[in-house]
Amino acid sequence: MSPVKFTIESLSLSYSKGAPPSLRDVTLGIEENSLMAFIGPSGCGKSTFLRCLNRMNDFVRGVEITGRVLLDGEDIYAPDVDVTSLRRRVGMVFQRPNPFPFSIRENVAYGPKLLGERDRGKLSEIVERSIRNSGLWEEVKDRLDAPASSLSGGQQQRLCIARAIAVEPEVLLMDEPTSALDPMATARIEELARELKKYYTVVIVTHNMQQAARVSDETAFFLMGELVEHGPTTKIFTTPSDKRTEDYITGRFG
Amino acid sequence: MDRYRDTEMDELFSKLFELASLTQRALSDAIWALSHHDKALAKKVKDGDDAIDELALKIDAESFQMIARYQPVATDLRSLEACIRIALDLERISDLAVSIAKTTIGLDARIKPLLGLTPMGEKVTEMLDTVMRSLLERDSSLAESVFPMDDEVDSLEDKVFSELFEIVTGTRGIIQGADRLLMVARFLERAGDHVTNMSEQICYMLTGRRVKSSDYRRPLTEMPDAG
Repeated sequence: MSPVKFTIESLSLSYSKGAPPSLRDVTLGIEENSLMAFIGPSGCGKSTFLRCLNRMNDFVRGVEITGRVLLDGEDIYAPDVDVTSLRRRVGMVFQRPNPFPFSIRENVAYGPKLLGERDRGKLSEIVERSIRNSGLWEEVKDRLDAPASSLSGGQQQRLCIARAIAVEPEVLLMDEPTSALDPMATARIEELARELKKYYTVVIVTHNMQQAARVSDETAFFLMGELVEHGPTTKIFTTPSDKRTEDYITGRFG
Repeated sequence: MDRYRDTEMDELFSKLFELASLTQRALSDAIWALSHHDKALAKKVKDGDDAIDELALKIDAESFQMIARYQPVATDLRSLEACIRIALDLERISDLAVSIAKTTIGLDARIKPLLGLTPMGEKVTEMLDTVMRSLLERDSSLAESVFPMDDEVDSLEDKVFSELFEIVTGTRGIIQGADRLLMVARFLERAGDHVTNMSEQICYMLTGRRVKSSDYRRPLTEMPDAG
């Protein structure tokens, strides 16, 4: 068994004081170099939970978080944690591709430059490696200086993945990364996600249960802020333990 | 939530029950024909097999179509797996009934059927009835009750063997017929094994636990994770 990358202990979250909690007492371990999928109906807390893993919820005014989130055993909510460096270690890819209004090359070089990389040779090495690893190289190698907006939606999403991995994160969080893509582009991202888990720990939030079944090693099912059940994906999709999981994945509610 | 695919699943299982009742009929007719030297009935069993094969193929095809269309998981997936495998077991049992019928057709009427064969056939028919009832009533303990019955079938087979031995040592002239009856005992024993396969499949479908007929006396254990 791989070492545990993330350990989440009794995590609860409310978006404002007195509001019903959006996450209730969630405890979960995420293994290194595994691909974990979070599934559940809209509003179940799966994206909220994902955003706790790189403190994206810090941007929400009035949010209250209790419990602990440990990355390699260290509490990411401890007062001395540098959130920028946390987000370098824990990268994120969003639902809709959001390339910067720059060239393909500049999109990928942006992060490393921000971290102080000035050497043009090194930068172009990073750009090529990242774009190769996101499976986009063959399609863009001859037009790296074209605007990112000239790419198709699926290509843009792979560019965003290249941008995320250019800063060599340890964990890649993907929040419904294929919900805006067609089936072919979706298939490419799914293949890519499976490839990426060799180098990173990958966590993917998805509305598409078949996607979770196809790509993930582990699946966690959320319902109304509660982590109902988690375990090996094969187990969850053949013999789930909880009736609510069974009802959700077989389409009886949600 | 009502799901339109539940209706399709219900229709599929009605076909499976129809297959089971045809198979059951073929088996009991084959045994009756054997013990009453009724070659006409034996021929009817033989001729009825094509319809059974056709229905089994139809169930198979429709199950796979549902897998392709709905990508079922959990209970839905286990139900379709059960449907496919049970249809296969039923089809095999009906083939064995045909083998018994063929034996009857080729058998000299003067040979007295072995005493143990009829109860053996009746026991297998009872197992088949029980297992299909367990599916209808979604009762896994009823499915498990089939396992000890298979042991009875096995000991009845031993009884037929000793009977056969007595015949062979006593009367030289009917050795040829006796060895055919020995084959019938083997056919029935195999039919019993198919019914226990069906029970195991029904238990998995209903509970998600893998049970084996060989350890029906031991406490049931969780299925090991496939991944």
